[in-house]
Order: sequence, then C-alpha cells, then structure tokens
Amino acid sequence: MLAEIGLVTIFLAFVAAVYATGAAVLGGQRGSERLVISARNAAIAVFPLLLIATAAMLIALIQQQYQLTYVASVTDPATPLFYRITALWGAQKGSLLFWSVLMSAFTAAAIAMNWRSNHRLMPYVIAYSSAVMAFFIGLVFFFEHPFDRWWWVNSPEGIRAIESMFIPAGAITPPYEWLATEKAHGLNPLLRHFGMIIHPPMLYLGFVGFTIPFAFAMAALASGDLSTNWIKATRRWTLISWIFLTLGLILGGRWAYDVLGWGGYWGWDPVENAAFLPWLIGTAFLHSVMMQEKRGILKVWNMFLVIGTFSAVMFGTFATRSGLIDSVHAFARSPVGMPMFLFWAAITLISIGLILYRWNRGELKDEHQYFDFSQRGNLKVLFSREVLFVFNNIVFVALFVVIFWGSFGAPVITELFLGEEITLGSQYFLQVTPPLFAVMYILMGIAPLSAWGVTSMVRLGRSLVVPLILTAVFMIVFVLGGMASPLALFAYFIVSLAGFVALYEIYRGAAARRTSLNEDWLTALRAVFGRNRRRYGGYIVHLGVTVVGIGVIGSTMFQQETTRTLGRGEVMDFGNYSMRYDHFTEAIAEDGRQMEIADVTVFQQGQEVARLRPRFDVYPDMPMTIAGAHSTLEADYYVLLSGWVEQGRLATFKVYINPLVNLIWWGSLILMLGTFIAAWPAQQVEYTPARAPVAARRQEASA
Amino acid sequence: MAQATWEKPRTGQPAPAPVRSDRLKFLIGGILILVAVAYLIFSGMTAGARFYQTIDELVTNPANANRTIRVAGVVLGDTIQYDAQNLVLTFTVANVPENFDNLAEALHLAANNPEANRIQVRVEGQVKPDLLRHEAQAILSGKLGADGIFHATELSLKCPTRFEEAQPQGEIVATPLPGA
Repeated sequence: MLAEIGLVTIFLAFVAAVYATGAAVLGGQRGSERLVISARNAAIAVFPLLLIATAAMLIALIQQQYQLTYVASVTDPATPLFYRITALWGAQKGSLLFWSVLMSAFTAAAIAMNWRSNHRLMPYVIAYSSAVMAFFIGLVFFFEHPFDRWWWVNSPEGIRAIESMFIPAGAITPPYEWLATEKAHGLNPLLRHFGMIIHPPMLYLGFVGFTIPFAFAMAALASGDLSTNWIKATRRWTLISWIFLTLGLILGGRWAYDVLGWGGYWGWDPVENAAFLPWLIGTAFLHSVMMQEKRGILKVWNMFLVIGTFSAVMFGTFATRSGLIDSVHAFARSPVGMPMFLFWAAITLISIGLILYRWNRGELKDEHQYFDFSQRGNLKVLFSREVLFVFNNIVFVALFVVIFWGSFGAPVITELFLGEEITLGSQYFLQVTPPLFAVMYILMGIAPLSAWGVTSMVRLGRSLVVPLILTAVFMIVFVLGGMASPLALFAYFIVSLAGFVALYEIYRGAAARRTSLNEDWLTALRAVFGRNRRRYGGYIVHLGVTVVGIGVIGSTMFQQETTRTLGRGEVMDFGNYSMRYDHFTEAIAEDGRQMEIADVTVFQQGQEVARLRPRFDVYPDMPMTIAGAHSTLEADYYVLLSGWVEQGRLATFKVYINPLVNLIWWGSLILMLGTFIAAWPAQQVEYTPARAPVAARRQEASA
Repeated sequence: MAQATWEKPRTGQPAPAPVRSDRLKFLIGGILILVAVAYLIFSGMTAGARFYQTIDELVTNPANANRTIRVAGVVLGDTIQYDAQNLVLTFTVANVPENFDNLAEALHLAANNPEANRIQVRVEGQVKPDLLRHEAQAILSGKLGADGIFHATELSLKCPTRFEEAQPQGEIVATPLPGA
C-alpha cells in the first residue's frame, strides 16, 4: 500500500513539475496571468505530493516493511528507531527522494513569498525552479526507484526473488522471515554518528537552497528585469543556503574526525572538495553582490557567480553520486551518472547563453566606472572597497580553480589526453591553497576599513593602529607560549588581524553611538547591530572565520603523532601528556557489534586529566576504530586503539596531539551566529548607504 | 569544462571607455594574477602528482622507478602480515581488469585468478586499517623499490560491503511451490 502511495505521488509530482515548467514559460511569453497562476499552483503542489511520498517511505522504514528493497538495504530488525528515521537519507535512492522534497519545499516557499513583490519575475522563476525539480523527481521516478519491492515468482527451477517496482505476473509477497533475515541489512555503521545524521540534510539544504537565487537570476535574464530586484529577493535565501552548506561542511569534518580515525578532519578527498567548491563560489557571490546593490557594477560577473554556484552544486552532486571519482566514500556506480552530467552541462550552457544574449544587447552595462585610476592617486584607488572586493572575488575564484583542477580537472584531463591518469594527493592542496587563504585573510583585515571610491591612506592607517596593537599583543602571547616558527607566526598574525579588525569595527560603531546619543554599551551595541545587521553580522562571521583559521593553523602545522605498544599499567610520555594503559575489555553491544575497549588514563604534570576508552568495534563485515579524545581549548589528546595481543596483554595505541583543533568547532558557532544576524529580517527599510546612521557617519568622518 | 564558466569577464566594459593606460594596468595585473595561480598549480602538481597505473603496467613498465605511483589492486587475504610492534604491514595485491560492472565480482575473480600479475606491498609506520582483508580493493600511493616491492606511503581501501552492494536479480531462493 505504502509503495503504491509513494509511486503515485512521485509520478504526480513529476507531472506537476513538468506542467508548471511548460505553463510558466507559455504564460510568461503570452502574458497570460491565468496560465502563470496555474503554473504557480502546480509548482507549489509538488511539495505536498512529495511530502506524502516521503512520509510513506518513513512509515515503511519505521514499520520495518522489508519488502521495500530500500528499507531492507538500510535497516534491519536490530536497527533502533532513531536510525530507522535517518535511514531515509542513508543511501542513494532515499537521499534523492529526500533531496527532491527539500527542493520542493524551498521552491514553494520562495514562490509564495515573492508572488506579489516580484511578480514580473515569477513566470521564469517558476519555470526554472520547476525544471530543476522535474529533473530530480524524474531521476527518482525513472532511475532510482525508491519504492521497488521484493517479489517471489514461481518458475520450474524454483522460486525466484525479483526486485521490481510493479507486481510481476503471478508474484507473491515474500514471507517476512525471509525478508528480515536474508535481505535486511543494517545501516552502514560508519554512518551511525551524530555528525553523519545531521550532515547530509544540512548539505542538501545548502545545495538545494542555491536553486532559488539561481532561478531568480535566470528569471531576471529571461524577463529582462535586470534591476537589483532579483538580488534583493534572494539575498536572504542565499545567506540561508550558505549557512546550511557551511554547517554541512563543518559537520562532515567533525564526523571524519570522530569516526574515520585518522586524526584529521579534512582530507582533500574529491568528495569533500565537491561540496567545498559551491561554497567558495557562493561566498564570492555573497560579497560581490553588494557591489551591484550599492554601486550598480559587476552585473555580468554576479550572474556568472550565481550560475557558477548552482552549476558547482550540480557538478558536485553528479561527481559524488555517479562514481566519477575514485574516492573512499563515493557512492557506487549508478545509473544516474549520465542524466546528471547532461543536465549539468545543459543548464550551464543555457545560462551562459542567456547572459551573453543580454550582455550583447547592452542590458548588463555597469552604472559606474569601477576604478578610476587616472584622476586620483593610484594607491588610494587600489585600496578602495571596489578594488578590494574584486581581489576578494579573484581569491575565491582562484581557490575554486586550483581545487577543481586538483580534484577533477587533472585526473580527467590527463586520462583523456595523456592516456595516463594523474591524481593529486593532499600535498598538492597543502601547497597550493595556503597562499590563497593567506591573501583572503589579509583582504579580510583591510577591506572592512576601506571606503567606496577611494580610501585615504592616512585614515586606513589610523583605523589599523588599534587592531595592529592588539594583534601584536596576541603574537607576544604566542611567542611566550613557546611558538618559534616564523611561518606560523606570520599566519597567526594575518588571521588574527582580520579578527581584531572585525571586533574593533563593532566597538567603534557602538562607541560612536554611545558618545553621540548617550546610550549605554548594551543599547548602543544592539542598535548598531539592529541598524545594519548585514554589516555587523558580517563582522561576526569574519570573527568566526578568524577563530576557525587559528584552529586550522594550529592543528595542521603542529599536529604531533606517535605509535606505542604498552603492557597493562605501563605509562607513555608524549608532548605534555602521559598516558597509562589500565584495562582491556571485550564486550558485545545490543546491536550485535563486538567491541574491544582499552581503558587509559591521561595525566598532565602528574595530575589525572581524563580517562579515555578508545575502542575497536567489529560489526559483522565492518570494523571501526573509535577514538578517545581529551579535548581542551589548547589541544585534543586523541587516542586510537590500533592493535592488541592476548586479550589485551599488550595494546598498541596511535596518539595524536591536535593543538587548537577545538577552535574550529567554536569558530563555526560564531560564524553561524553572525550569519543569522545578517540574515535576520530587518525591522526597518533595507539599508542603503544614504540612510547610514548619522552617528556612524560622523564617527567615520572624525576617525 | 566548468572552468570556462569562471572566466573573469576581464573586468567588464566600464560605462565610460577606460583610459588606455588603465587598460594596460588591468591587463598587467590580470596577467600577473594568472601567472601566480598557474605557478601555484604547477608547483603543487610536482609535489602532489601521483601517476595512476594498473598492476600490469607497474610490473612491465621500466619508467616507474622513483615516480610516485597510484595503483589499485585486490588484496589477497592469506598474505596479510602485520607486525604490531614495529608497525610493518605487508601483503600482496593482484591486478584487477579495468572494465567491470560489479566491483565485488571483479575483485572476487581477480583474487582467484592465478594468472593475474601480483605485487608485494610494504607499508610502514601505519596502523593496520580496518578494511584490509581478503578481496578488498586497495588503492595505494608510493614507489616501486629496486627490490620489486611496492613501498606504499598511502593506503586506502574500499570494500564492496553488504551495505551498498547491488542485490542479485532472479536468484533462486526456494523450491518451487506445489502446482507450479
């Protein structure tokens, strides 16, 4: 019954999405409001239809209906309820359905919320977003079949087990016992982790969310309404998608750190990079779009960025789901590879074609000249906000290019043209990306202090004095703490400068209000954030990125590792820590996995600081090494049980000391807080430069 | 390829035509940036390049000495030896033909094919990975030593586990029902 409901609703959703695309295009061309309304209703109806299909799948998962091949492939009778629910996105078929329902929710909300305010764009917004939905629902319906069932068909040789969407002639439902014992598999144990439960939905929300800015940008190109309407309508959608994508990336890193047992959080694996690429272009877009809103420039470039972000999402989805790249966690080879590739190529080409068409007609001309080097001093112009924003974009795009080349370009091109595949290991990324990240942080430190048009060097210098002093003090703390590497000091310097600039700017804003309006600190701070959420939220994001950066530098440049074999009661010294091996336990958990557990005690300066239980779990078929970690802000002491003999008479431990690694997680929280502030609906009219608080302007003038 | 999409529109055409010297500055600036990025890529590639080869090629190609090579093969379970005290791991991998539909099947056939080229692998300083076992696919990076042993510095493993495996279609699961 559930399978039929699922099948029918997915099919209806597909029809609705296809119809919405066609009706919207026709309605837009003929100017028929009736057709456009009909298209809108169809596009919005996709969401409830897919919701029913998803609910049917969830019920099947919870009720253990193993006749559904998907349910059998991701759960078994021992799976706890929580993992039954999350199994919805535990494998390809379910996750594509889940992806489609999220996309339909975003689309329905975006259409409903902008129906009046951006009416002229609507036919094309509906057409583009419905086309993308139709594609994904089509993949689900025609290629991935989440509602396939097991059937028994009688034949002269015996009963055959057949996997089929529809009931084959003369088929019977296989007995429950057979399904539960022969066909039901548990969820891959590597995926049974909090980070893995939340990571895919976050990443998907980020990915599908970028459909909305893309659809609006394309609608602007198609309708000819090339004002900043599409940007204003999608600013918040972009920020929300960005925050989900960021969260997804961070949770993925956390999962790798906790579960994969190699002491790191980012391996520059092609699949990880595939999710990082849209983030880079999306971040460039978030910055560059301000130039168009406030200065009316970079219009073509912004179109390229928004299409680039969406195209990177599609490419990443294709690369991870098709098995294009030999990666440790690529999905198996799958039938969706070719359709996805074609869709990606088609959507990218059509978009670029539209841009070129409008560009050619002169409709994407900038309203100002960017940078006028001829009249004023070169240096002043070079440090203008426009130029710094362009550099920011160049850095993000350069990061995109080098990472894309390293993960996908080099292997594919060399295999096609040199007949020999060259892949690039993590050394490539560790060598190529740090200089670019360094430039990014330097720009983060200067750009917030610059002004549109020209930046007075004297003023820039003055604004930098306090942050520079604070950074210098911070560096002295590092040096006193024993930091001797000049390279690391340089890295810490530029990263912390960016953070102090952000903090100092917030302080300056509040201080100006406090003196001019006689407010107390709290009121002044709240008013500063309230008046210009985007700017000050942005500073908080910068602060978060700084904290993450310090964590990355510490844990990358100063990671220590060792491997020792200890007898019971034996103590090993490593770094500032000592560790004693106490016990060894073998146990069998409720879900049937066998656990080998070592008990260790960690000491610092003779004081016990933690008792850890690094573990080795053996699921039938899948062993897992679970680290034990003692986390402080200063460092993680991260222990893996890597081997043992004679019921643990001797045990081998691999130990990592990861300095400052926790700043990555804390910095991420700050970053999210900042994004929420920036995305929070403003109480007043949208900010424009002319309405800048008087006090802030006065303060800037006097600074 | 997607890179073409990211091509910067050469700072666009500013509304009033830019002064000639401005254009020159943009051109020089742009070229400098391109050169810097290209330099980064090339220096990174010399550091991180790994040539992907099959075991057949590895065994026969004499140009392999001193190149970092990436190679994939199927692990032969009874050859795995692990010295937990000194962290020395040795095992043998066999060549897997390149084109296959089902990874599990291809690995199984390759592991049981006595004709397949084989090579001994030595990994030092690493813990024995969880997934290293019979008929796992090993993806190795390292160099072929003069001793004919492949000294791997990176080892990753892929197992066709029951968790993601395609199910056989039309397999016989029971005797015919009465009256069939």
